[in-house]
Amino acid sequence: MSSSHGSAPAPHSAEDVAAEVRTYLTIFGALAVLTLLTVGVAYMNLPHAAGVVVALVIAALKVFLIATFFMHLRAEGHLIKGTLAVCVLLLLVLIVFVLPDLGLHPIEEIERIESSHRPSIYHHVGEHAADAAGTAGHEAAAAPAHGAAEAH
Amino acid sequence: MSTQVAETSTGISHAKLGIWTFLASEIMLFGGLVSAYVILRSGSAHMAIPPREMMGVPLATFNTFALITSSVTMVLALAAIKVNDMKRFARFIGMTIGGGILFLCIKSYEYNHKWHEGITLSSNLFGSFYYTLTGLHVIHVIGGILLLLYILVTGLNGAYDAHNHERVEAAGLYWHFVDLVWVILFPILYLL
Amino acid sequence: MDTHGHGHDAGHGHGEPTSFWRKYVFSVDHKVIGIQYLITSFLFLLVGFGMMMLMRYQLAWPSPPDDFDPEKMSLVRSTIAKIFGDKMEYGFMRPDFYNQLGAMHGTIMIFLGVVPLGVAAFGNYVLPLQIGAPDMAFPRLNMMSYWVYLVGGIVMMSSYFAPDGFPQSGWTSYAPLSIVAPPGQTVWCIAMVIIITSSLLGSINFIVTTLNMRAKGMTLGRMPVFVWAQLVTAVLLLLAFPVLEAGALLQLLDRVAGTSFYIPKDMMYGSTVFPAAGGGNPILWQHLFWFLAHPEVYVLLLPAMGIVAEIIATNTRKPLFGYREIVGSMVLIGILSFVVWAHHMFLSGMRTSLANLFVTTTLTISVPSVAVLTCLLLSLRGGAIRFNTPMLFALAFLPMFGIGGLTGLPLGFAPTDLHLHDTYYVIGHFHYVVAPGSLAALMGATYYWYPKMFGRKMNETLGKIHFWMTIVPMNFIFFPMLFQGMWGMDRRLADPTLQWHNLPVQGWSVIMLFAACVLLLGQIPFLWNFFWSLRHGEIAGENPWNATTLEWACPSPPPHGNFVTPPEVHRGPYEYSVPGHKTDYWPQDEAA
Repeated sequence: MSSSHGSAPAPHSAEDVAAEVRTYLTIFGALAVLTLLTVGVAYMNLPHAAGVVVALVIAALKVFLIATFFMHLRAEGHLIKGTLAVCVLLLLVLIVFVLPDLGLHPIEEIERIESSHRPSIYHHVGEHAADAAGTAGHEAAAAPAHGAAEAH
Repeated sequence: MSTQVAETSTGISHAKLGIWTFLASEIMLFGGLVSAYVILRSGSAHMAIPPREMMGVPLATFNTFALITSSVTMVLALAAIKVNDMKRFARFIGMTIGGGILFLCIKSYEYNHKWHEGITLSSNLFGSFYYTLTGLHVIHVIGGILLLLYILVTGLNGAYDAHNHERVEAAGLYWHFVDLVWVILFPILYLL
Repeated sequence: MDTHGHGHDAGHGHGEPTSFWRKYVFSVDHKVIGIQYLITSFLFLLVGFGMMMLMRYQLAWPSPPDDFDPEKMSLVRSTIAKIFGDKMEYGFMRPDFYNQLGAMHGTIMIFLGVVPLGVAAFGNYVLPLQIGAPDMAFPRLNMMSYWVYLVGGIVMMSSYFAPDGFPQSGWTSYAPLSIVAPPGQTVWCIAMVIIITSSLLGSINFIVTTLNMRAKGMTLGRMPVFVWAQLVTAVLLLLAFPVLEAGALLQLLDRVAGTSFYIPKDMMYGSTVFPAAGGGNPILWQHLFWFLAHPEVYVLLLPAMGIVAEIIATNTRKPLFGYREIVGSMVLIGILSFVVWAHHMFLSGMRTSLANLFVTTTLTISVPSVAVLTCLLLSLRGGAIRFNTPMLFALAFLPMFGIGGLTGLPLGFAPTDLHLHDTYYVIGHFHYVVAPGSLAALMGATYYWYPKMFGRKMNETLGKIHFWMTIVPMNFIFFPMLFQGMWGMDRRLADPTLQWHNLPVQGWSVIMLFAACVLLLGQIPFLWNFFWSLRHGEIAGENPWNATTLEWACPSPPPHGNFVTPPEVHRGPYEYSVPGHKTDYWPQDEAA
């Protein structure tokens, strides 16, 4: 009786299951093509940004196919879909909020840091402060983290 | 003793709701690590990315196929149990386990190869992330194989039929998730 | 099997467990597991409290005065010197031992004390009863969660035996200090991964139970506030903890496997370059840590809010003011708590635009918190209040949490935070939230649900002594911290008097020590009361407080399987003093 309680009543008739199997095989074909496609695109050596976008779009598409058809997300109710949406949203929050702090350094700046071979104790501060310097002059002076104690 | 699940308030069985809740936390675990990778990949001036030849893309592509195929055989096994076809069920679960083991074999060859090429856990930041992310994934693959072995053994003893396959479904969801993680790890570690 | 057939893990019937071990130790009954959690977390609270007493003693007299004579030490000082040997020579603490106690006090109190008490102990015991379920959805998982927690706690404590003792990098374990720290820190990382695993098992169980095992008629809108609080808390734990697990894993690898996730290029350690490839970023740890640890603050708080709502509704004999608003605010708090974490990091050098974003979200989250507090306050209006011990604790929660919340606002603004960050002001602020706030509510919960757990009430007189000897000294400990912090006294210093600007506020530390001693004495009546009442307390019936929620509809203590007949819910959770009803309370399961 268990499976008859899901939001999608399990079909169980032979024809339905056969149709299901056809869907699975189609999805398998799509996944295979997408895998070859993403590898092929990688070898085309597109400009970096374009390459990243294409690879991520294809990966997202594959994730979508697996989740929707293999994991039967299509047939699930709002509760499970909502939970997953919350997870994805939280991860986006994590990445989007942290990237401007620690990631996404302009290329020139990275090169500048690399070219200035400073074997200094403050090298790692410089890496971070160089980013902050552009927008937040007064905060750039603050050492990271537990620098507070030394500041006094 | 029956494994029948009575009515629940949401209409979703405990097993299914439980496994999805668990997967939500797994998403956050892998998501946290991947976020750390993305952040440092774009933010660190010292993450030397090995050339694509060193990464062995063809072998990794083959490995991707191994996992995708095992995902398909998993849903086929579920479809088989829905019509009480025990023979096909056992065969497809066996193939799924085989796909997982093939993946592990190739992975161990890859680790060995890369380590000798100089990509090690501590050689640089990329190596650290490569082994951490794929290593955690490998642990999940091993866990999945053990889970599927349990399903196979209990299945052969007649624990599941057309009306009672909650656990097969739950194990399948976990296995697809493992596949899904690899689908994300493959491009961000090998191709970009 | 029970007739109603609530879904159960296969193979778990409701036959009485037979042996002592199955019944009291390796039990799968949510009530036994809840009491196991209760006792274990109280023990851990006591351990953390003991560490705090030592630290306060050190802070009161941080260094030997000029005329110090080792021959004429006070009894206390010589005893402490004898017990701790070279860690506290002449009773003065070695700075690294102070760091160890500080790190362990925070870790124990939060991860092993208050969260297990609020979430696992009362959640386990009360939640299934309040929704009318015979047990949790996955009883064996529940048992596993307790034992994994216990193992995690023991592993954490065992770090004492590592070379150089306990971890020393604070409960926040900031990199790169935590990467170069002595081996105790490795144990910390491992223990954290274990504790997080236990917590994840628990939260999966709570979520599935709450959603799936509600009694007939128990719609989401009829769930008691405490159940809602537990549900939101479980979701927070489920989604925030894995990120810290990832972070702790990376820290562990940095320490033992030579990776450099948190180690910058060419980091100097001592006089040499730290032997790692480098290229990582220590600030990344802060982001991953606080992504968990801010929701964690609400994990400490939400169950307390739920408890206070229950106690206030019962003891004012009137419905809660704004049930829907309280529940909605709690859900909103849960959502917003994920987007405020970087307000702990204003001093890390983040760009101003990002800091502004987090200032905004931080001030936004104070709105639902104030909404809950206001609703609870307005619930008192016009009520026929019964001033029993649980109610006293619940009433004390309101102003105490108010102080804790309001003192948080200056920390949410980046400009004021730059001055107050890492001072005693921060310590005062969050202790107001957690100690006289959450912990007081949890003590109230102990008095409130004790009759359900053991069938007897706790003694009221002892309870009131305990109440006054807890709340008053707590204020004498935590309020002076706010002065000290505004004066500029930094936290985590074994000897603040080394910085001369701290001398004028040093005297408060002596007062705080005496207050802490009173607080310690105040817990004796509680412990005595707890054990004495097991046998001698006033016998409580099913419903000693004349309350409406479902946990009072089953025998005290409830048998295995809880309800004699599966309850059916007919109305909302707080139907008190309904005009025309024969009593001033109308239980949820009473047929109309």
